[in-house]
Order: sequence, then structure tokens, then C-alpha cells
Amino acid sequence: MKALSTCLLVLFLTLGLKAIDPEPPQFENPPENFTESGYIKLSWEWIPGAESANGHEFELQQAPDAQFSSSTAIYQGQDFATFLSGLKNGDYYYRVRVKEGGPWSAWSEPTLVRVQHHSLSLAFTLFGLGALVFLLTVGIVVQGNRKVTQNP
Amino acid sequence: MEHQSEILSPTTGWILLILLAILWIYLGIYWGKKAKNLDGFMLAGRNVGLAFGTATAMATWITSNTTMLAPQFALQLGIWGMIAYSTAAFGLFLFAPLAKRIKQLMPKGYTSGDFIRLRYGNTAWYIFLAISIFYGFTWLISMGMAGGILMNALAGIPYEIGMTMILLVCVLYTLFGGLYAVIGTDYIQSLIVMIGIVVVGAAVLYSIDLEQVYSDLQTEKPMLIDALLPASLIAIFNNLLFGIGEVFHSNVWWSRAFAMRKGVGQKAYTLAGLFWLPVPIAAGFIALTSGSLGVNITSPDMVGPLMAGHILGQVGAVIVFIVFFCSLASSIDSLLAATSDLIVEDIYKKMINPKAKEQRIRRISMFVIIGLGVFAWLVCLPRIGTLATVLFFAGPMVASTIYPIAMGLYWKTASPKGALWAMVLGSLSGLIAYFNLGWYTASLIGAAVSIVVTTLFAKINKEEFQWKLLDESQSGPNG
Repeated sequence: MKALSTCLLVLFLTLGLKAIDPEPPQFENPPENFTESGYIKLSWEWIPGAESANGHEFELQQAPDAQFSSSTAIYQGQDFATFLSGLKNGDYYYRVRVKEGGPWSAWSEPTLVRVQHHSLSLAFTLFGLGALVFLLTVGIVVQGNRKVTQNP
Repeated sequence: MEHQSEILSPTTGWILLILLAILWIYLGIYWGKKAKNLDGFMLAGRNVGLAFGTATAMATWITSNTTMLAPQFALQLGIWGMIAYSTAAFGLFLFAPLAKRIKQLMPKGYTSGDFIRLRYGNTAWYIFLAISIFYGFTWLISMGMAGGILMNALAGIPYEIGMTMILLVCVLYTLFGGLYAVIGTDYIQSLIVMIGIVVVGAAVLYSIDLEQVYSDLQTEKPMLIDALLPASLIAIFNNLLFGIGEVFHSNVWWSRAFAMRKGVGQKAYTLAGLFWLPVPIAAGFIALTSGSLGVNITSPDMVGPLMAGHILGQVGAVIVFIVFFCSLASSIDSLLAATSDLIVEDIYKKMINPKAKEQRIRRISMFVIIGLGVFAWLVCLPRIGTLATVLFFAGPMVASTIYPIAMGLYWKTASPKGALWAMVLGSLSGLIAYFNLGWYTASLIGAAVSIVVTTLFAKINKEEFQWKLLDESQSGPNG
């Protein structure tokens, strides 16, 4: 009888725990993302469960590999998105999970952000072109103004 | 579903919103009494002095673009992004001599469209009107969106309601007072914005550890402090040329040039540029502190108001709310007035009903202002992108107008075909760059193509334009 009670208690606790284990959030971004400017917005969706009245908290992790062997928590809070910027060239993996006053959910499917900045040669070419166009514009206005002031 | 934690309670937000609405509508009615005729309603009696002229130019240029986009630039493109934004002051500096020239050549002119029509003829005029009205809409829409975003971020007021309220208030007081109300409210709004930015700037410097901010940026967002961040290097002259294009072509600035007294325009625009130059740097810098202060940003265009509110707390958030509301209102009203002038003067009066009497034109102006507000509201309802992506879509088009305007004012050989092809090819090439390279390249490419095309056509053109044809008060409405 005692063994049966223990079994029922274990079963109840297991089912009970399962019942409050929240569903993991899912990224709205595609599994692979690419940016040439070093910034990107990550957003995720999640449907609050029965425990949502107690509030919820997300945790977003970043890692350089898909196994998350050396991950860093970059956000903890209630928002459903975060904006990342200033990233260097490279691959960044992200995953998110949630808790509603109880245990954490499982991790979401990861999403990859691949950063490959524009080449510096393109950047300097456009920078130089912009500088030239600007100087010519100043020249047109200054010279034109001088001309009409001298000879209205 | 991208919930962003707000700073003020919705009740406080609503109280502020209602108080500001009553104040601006009352002032609109008060100043509107001065607008006794069409020149009064559209151009404030062509008698605006230096103080009001400087304040209105500066207030109009301090828009959501400055207070919300400059921080967005800093967050996306780092230190160079912030500086890139401040280069838009060159739009005002370079327009200063143009304002003098415009007043000299067209003492009784009404719109920038008048200039293009008289200088280059109807075909270039149609293209110009399409560009200018499209740009006016994107600016108006970006600011309607900014109003909704701001009130949602600071006080949790739903985006749709905040956006509706700011558009409604601005439509009402512009409707009552025309350009008198716009310039009068701009004067007060510019003072509030300047004081607010000094307060916010001082509080930021007092409450943060600069070394810590630098160290956090190095660890978490290293490219933001990298002098060789490619996208921001490209963005510097892109933004500068976009700013020049915005000011050179837009009737917002031309209407002020016509409204200012003789001899005022050049000084007013130079002073406005000088006062405006540091504002984007002050507003943009706070975005770089978001990591150090642990503030999560869900949308980059929210970073400015959120950070300011976070640093200054509840009382500070009230100041921030007022400052941002004023910066938005000072531009929305200007755009409503100037775009309605363009539509009424260039489309209704010149194309539909040339014999329309003054009373009728004024009534049509009021309908157009309401129509613009309703149209902007409809487009703002679905939040279609960030402020930068919405506004910069018009970038290549406005940049392509720089040279038809500048050369058209100074070069007798600038030709109608040159102006037409400069606008068409500049816009197209810039849009290709927008979609293939990024929004931060589009204006640059558009301007580069436009300067080449306008110059080439001017060099091969043998006919010289007669400047007196620009003064319709001398030559009659049909030249």
C-alpha cells in the first residue's frame, strides 16, 4: 500500500511538473539570417500559458557555435524582441527560453546570424564618391552665389 | 507582440497628451486670426523676421528625424552614424544663399513647384511634383509613425491611438492658423526642444560613467566604435546628400524662404544650421549607453525616447514626452502646410482651376490639409517598417533634385531635358542601390548620377535662360 502511494505521488508530481512546464518560444526570424551592416532585430513568439498571471521572463543566449558550448546570456526580461548591433564579421547563434514563475522551458530552435560587412574597398569608393559630389555641390552654390552677387 | 517596457503610466501620458493638444490648438486659433488673406494663410504675410525665421527653420529640421532617427543611427551605425546624421546641417547651410537667390528671383513666388515649372517647363514640373509630394508623404508618415511609437514606448498608449492623436492635433491647428500658426508654434516648440535637450544631455553626462560605456561597447557592440565600420562610412555622405536634397527641393523650406522678409533668409538658415548641428550628436549619443544601462531595445527607432526616459526617471520621462511631442508637431504642421500649398498652388490653381478666387483657394487648402492628415493616418495604421527605412526610401528621389534646383538657380544653361533626366535617372539608379546595397547608399548614388546628367546637358545646351521669366508678378502667370 505504501509503495502504491509512493508511486502515485511520483506520478502526480511528474504530471504536475509537466503541466506547468511552459512551451518554448520560437523565433520569428528564419533559421539563417544575413547582414552586411552588423545589425539585426531578433523577435520571437510565445503564447502565455495558465501561469502567465505570475509574469514571464525570457532568456536569450548568444554563442559562436550551434552547440552553445560557450554561450552568453544577452537578454533577460519580458520583451518579445531585441535589437542587436555593432556585431563583427562572423557567425552568431541565438536561442531563447521562457519561464512563468516555475521552471524554464526547453530552448527554442536556434537561429543563425551571419555577419559579413561590406568590403572596405566598396566603403571607401562610395565615401570618396560622396566626398567628391559634396565638394562639387558646395562649389556650385558658392561660385554661383559669388557670381550673382558681383553681377546680379 | 514585441512588448516594450514603458516608463510612464498611460494616465500620465494621456494627461500630457490632452494638455499639449489644448495648448497647440489654442495657439493655432490665436495666430490664425492674423491670416486675413491667402498670402497670410500660406506665407505668413511674407513678413517673417530673423528670430521667428531662425526658430522655424531649426524647429522644422529638429523632427522625429533628429530626436528619434539620430539615436537610431547611433545604435545601428555607431559613432560615425551619429556624426553622419549631424551632417544634415549642411542642407541648411547651403540653402542659406539659395534662399536669398530665390527671394531675389521670385519675390511673389509661392512654391518650389513654381520654380521648376517656370524654369524647366511642364514635363520636368510633373516629375518634380511627383517626387516632392511623394517625399512629403513619406516624411509625414514617418512622423505619424514616430508619434505612435513614442507614446507607446514612453507611456504604453497603444500605437494606433498615439499616432491618431498627434496627427489630429497638428491637422487642427494648421487648419485654423495656416503658416502663421505653424511658425508661431515652431518658435515655442524650438525653445522647448532646445531646453529639453540640454537637460537630457546634462543628466546623461551626470548619470553615466563614460569609461564604462566605452568598455561595454568594446565588449558587446565593438563595431559601433570602430572607425572603419563600412556601412557607416558609406552613410556619412549618403545622409549629407539626402539632407541637402530634402532642403533644396522641399516646399517646406521654399515656403519659408518666400515668407521671410527680404535680407532675412540667408542669415536665418545659416543660424538655424549652426544651432541644429550639435542636436543629433546630443540626441544620438544616449543610444550608445543602452547596453551599459541594461535597457533592451526592441525596435531601433524607440531607442532615443526610451533611453532618455530611463536615465531621467519618471519626472524626466515627462520632459522627454513633451520634447518629443514638440519636435514631432513642429515638423508635421510644417509639412501639412507646405504640402497643401504645393498641391493647391501647383495642381489645383495651375492645372484645374486657374481662375479660382482667393476665398475658394483657401477653402481648398483646408480640405487638402484634412485630406493629407487622413491619408497619412491610413498609411500609418499598419506599422510598415522602421522610421529610417520609410524615410530613406524617398532619399534617391530627393537627392536627384539637388542639381536641377542648384544649377537652375545659378546656371543660365541648365536645361529642361537635363533636369528631367537627372531626376529620372538619379531616382532609378538610387532605388537600385537602395534594394541591392542598402538604404544608406541610395541618396549618394542618386545624387552622383544627377550631378553628372545635369552638368552634361548644361554643357551641351546653347540656349540661355532669362531670369526675369521666374518673376510671375512681372511676366504674368503664363510667362
